[in-house]
Amino acid sequence: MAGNTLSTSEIADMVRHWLATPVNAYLGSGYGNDLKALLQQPMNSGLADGFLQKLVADVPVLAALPAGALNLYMEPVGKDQQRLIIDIAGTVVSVDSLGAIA
Amino acid sequence: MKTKADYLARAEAVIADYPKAALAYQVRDPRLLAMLESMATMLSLHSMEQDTAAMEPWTKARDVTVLADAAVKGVLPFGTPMRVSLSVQNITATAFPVLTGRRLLDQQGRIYVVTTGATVPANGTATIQAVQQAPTLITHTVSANQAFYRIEVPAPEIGYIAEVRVADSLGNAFTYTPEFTNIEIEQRVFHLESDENRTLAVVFGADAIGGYQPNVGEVLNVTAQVTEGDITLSEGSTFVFEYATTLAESGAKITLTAVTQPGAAPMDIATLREITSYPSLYDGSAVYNGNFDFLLRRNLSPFRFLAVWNEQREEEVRGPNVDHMNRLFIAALKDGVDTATLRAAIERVVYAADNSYRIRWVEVAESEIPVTVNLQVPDVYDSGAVQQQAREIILAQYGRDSAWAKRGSGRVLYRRVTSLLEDAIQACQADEADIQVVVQDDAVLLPETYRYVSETSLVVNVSVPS
Repeated sequence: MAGNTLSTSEIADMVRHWLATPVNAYLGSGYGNDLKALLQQPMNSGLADGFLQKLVADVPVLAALPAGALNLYMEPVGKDQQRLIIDIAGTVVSVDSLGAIA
Repeated sequence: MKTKADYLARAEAVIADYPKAALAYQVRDPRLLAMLESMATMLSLHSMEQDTAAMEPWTKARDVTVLADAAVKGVLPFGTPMRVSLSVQNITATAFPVLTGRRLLDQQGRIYVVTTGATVPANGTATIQAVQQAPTLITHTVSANQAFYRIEVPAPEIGYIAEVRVADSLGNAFTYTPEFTNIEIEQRVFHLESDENRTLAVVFGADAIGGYQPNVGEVLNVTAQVTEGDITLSEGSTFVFEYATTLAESGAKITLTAVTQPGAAPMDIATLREITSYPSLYDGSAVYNGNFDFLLRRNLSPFRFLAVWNEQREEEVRGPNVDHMNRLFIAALKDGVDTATLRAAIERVVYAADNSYRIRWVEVAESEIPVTVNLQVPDVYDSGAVQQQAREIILAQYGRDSAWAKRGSGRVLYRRVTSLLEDAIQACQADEADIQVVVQDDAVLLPETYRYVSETSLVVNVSVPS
């Protein structure tokens, strides 16, 4: 039954929702990403794990994925931009695809 | 009160009717859940608000209710300007006049206006009176011809409004008539009203009902006197003229000799709570005993202590005397003002309301009430912290600065102390905890005693239940 299964694209949609929501945007919950906190930090500060932990806590279905299925990359775009890429079991969600997050 | 979890449980109970949503709910899809949770939070906040509203008929639980009640009872958010007596010393050989309306500045640049001027003789001194206020003018063009036309008076950036005057463009003044009492049709009067946000508005009358209704296009000038309220100036503070034109004036030495009326901010919530606990009164005048108390508090607040009583109350405590007929007994204390000035101000207010009374001044007698509180709390609690907490609670309720003490003639109630302590201290809510209150109070309360519980008269013992 199609209604009882979740496709990867649905999960990707949830992550997109999370990426589009700043932290504390919903009344009474800390749901949302804190992307701005990643700015002006050293490259080797290991913030990616914390960022993903928050994502997994906010979107509990991700915890059901096998270990290592969730990855986070940053790639430099030009001189002054970073592109954030979240890889969910092979489906890539890029922050770019949401439009500019200023 | 319903909590967030209660609302979510309700949502969960019916979500099976919507299979797609149920699936999303099961995997805790944030696209659905974030919205549901925020709605549940909002509803729980609303539920809390409703609980407060349900309590309102019995106690004024919210500050905004107190403010609204005060607005309805016509207590306006006015500040009281400071009035000072200044001595002007002329060091030149030319006499110069200081006219009424001349503006002075103090060391902080606050504006004072001379109310009683004087001519300062050559090489001599003169005394002048000044009040700390500055006018702001609002020019309003009437935009609609309507009954009870309102003009809002904007709140000043610094300080408080002390007085409002209204005049038309030719300078013909309108009379301030509270609540439009005893007015005729077309009489040029205005009324002031405020609301729970402490916004002040000038209200005019209505055609064919009473008062003057302004016409469209008419220009009205509203002058608000703005004062900074509560100011502390040390004796001998220097003042200067805002503009000094002659050599004699610029050399003049102006110093503070006395504060004749201390400034005050508008009544705070605690005072308003006190004021609005009186039943509604007829246009601020006084007839019965309690009315005079209200009248004085409303006009001259804040008091350190005020008790007003009549013949009947006096004879209850000190026995009858024919001299007590038509006499009003007043004991009053106010911070920052000398007794003579305070008594003169009280006399002015009382005689304006009813000049058939004779006033007898009674000295305020301060008295400390010995209170011993024995608490038994289980030894898992820090007895020192419990003791300190109990002291703070009792002193806040019955201390020298409490509203209870300032009102006078009250008893320290065992029930009140017990319930206060039980509500606020967790240790006193334990199963084995006990509270014992011992108050050694006078059998007869004299109305002029300013009674309070002080740091030294309060003893709190904390022990472990045996």
